[in-house]
Amino acid sequence: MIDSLLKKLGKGGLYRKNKDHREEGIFSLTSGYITLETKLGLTSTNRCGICIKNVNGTYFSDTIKEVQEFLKISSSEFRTDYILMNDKYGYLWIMIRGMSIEDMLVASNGIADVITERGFRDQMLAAVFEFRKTVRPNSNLDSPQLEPQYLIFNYKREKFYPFVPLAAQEKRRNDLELALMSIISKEIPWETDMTVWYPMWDMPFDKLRT
Amino acid sequence: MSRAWQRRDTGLTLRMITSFVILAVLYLIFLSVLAYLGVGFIPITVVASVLIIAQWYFSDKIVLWSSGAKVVTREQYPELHGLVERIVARNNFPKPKIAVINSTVPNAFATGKSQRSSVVAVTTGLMDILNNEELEGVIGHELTHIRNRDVLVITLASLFSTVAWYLMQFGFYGGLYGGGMGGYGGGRDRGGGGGAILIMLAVAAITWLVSFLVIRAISRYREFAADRGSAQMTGKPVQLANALMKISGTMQQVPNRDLRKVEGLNAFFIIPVHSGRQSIANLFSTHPPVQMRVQKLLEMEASMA
Repeated sequence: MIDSLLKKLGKGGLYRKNKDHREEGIFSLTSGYITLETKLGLTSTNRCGICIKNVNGTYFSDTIKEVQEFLKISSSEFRTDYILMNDKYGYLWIMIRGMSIEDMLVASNGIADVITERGFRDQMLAAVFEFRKTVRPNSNLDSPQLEPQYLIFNYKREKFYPFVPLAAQEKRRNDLELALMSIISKEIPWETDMTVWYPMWDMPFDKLRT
Repeated sequence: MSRAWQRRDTGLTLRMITSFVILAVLYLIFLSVLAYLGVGFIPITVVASVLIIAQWYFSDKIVLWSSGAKVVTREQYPELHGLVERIVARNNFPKPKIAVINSTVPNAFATGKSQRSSVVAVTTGLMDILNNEELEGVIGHELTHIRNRDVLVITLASLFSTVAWYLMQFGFYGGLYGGGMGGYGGGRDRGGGGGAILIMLAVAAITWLVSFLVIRAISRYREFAADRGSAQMTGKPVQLANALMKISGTMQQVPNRDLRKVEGLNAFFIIPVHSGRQSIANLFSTHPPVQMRVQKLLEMEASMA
């Protein structure tokens, strides 16, 4: 009896509260991306990647199958397209492409729900959203930065931070990252501790067909 | 429509006026006490005038000499000269002399009595770590110091503090002397004189302390003003923010190791410790904390976008 009571308390009380907060966190991007577009000319490429630490065992692989089922159903419903792959670090990537940033947020949240329910929440590392600069006709022609810029959502800290890699080198454009921060840090849960702005090199975004 | 970063910094102007009013009132009270005690102004005024004129007249030479900065020609540093020329041309500003300090510590300063005779100095270390746009931001900051005549303002403000400091010393020795005279002499008048000098000493000490803090405050707000001026000159506040973070070493804290490599290190559970000591340090500092300056610059960047 006490067990079931605790369970109820957990589901309805603390657990739910925690979950709502998390959802608000990543969903803040639904309004945030408009600011990026109007102020920085950065548009969402409508591609995102969810990075999960692989676990050996059938229970985890069953979970991933469940995620795939979910994606299969939602791909028709939410017009999304997806691919699963492993990277050289031994992490699983679920790459999603949608028609809008909302599609990707709904999909990534659904994936997070499935994984959380199966108890693998701690394996979720990050969700990465890709943006690209669009060249405006009246903008300065000095240096159009067409390389992708990323917002990384760290699932452990539940905060966003910027990552702008310099093409083909393991270096970052700190100036563009700061520009991102200046525009959007007030609107979305922001990682103010710059010492944990860990980069993610060679993300498999190009594996999604364009 | 005027945007936030283009507006005149009325807050700064108000603070400057208030600071000077406070200083003026303090010195009026101080001088009244001195007059009451019958101390002559002439020796003090002469010493103070000589000091202020010398300090102002020789300021650039003293600063250049003490920092080891060497004025460099266009042939020696064509890129640096070109960079400064681009900024001054865009902003209708006379070109300052350019000096270079052979030091790995990234730093820069401006000095000079007037806009025409001013010098902007940068260290070789600064040129090494900053790219051109960031360097432009720093030069813009220093040029704003020149435009705002900050050397003169700070020198003038320091004059009050200097005078108070000399008087405090004068009062201190006077107090000892007066006390010695009063001790065994036994005369009531003399004993009273020693007490009055002690009061003067206390007043001078308080005056000096308060003026010292006020000067520090003025200096900090001048830094914000220079950041703002630089942002207006270059149109790219984020570049100066970048430069400040590089100079202060904050930028070096942005990691280059992959998230997937550090994941196992539990790096995310370390809670940064904030100590209360920061605010006391701020009170005595001539520069505002980098974090705050970067934040203001990023706000400007956001309003410009």
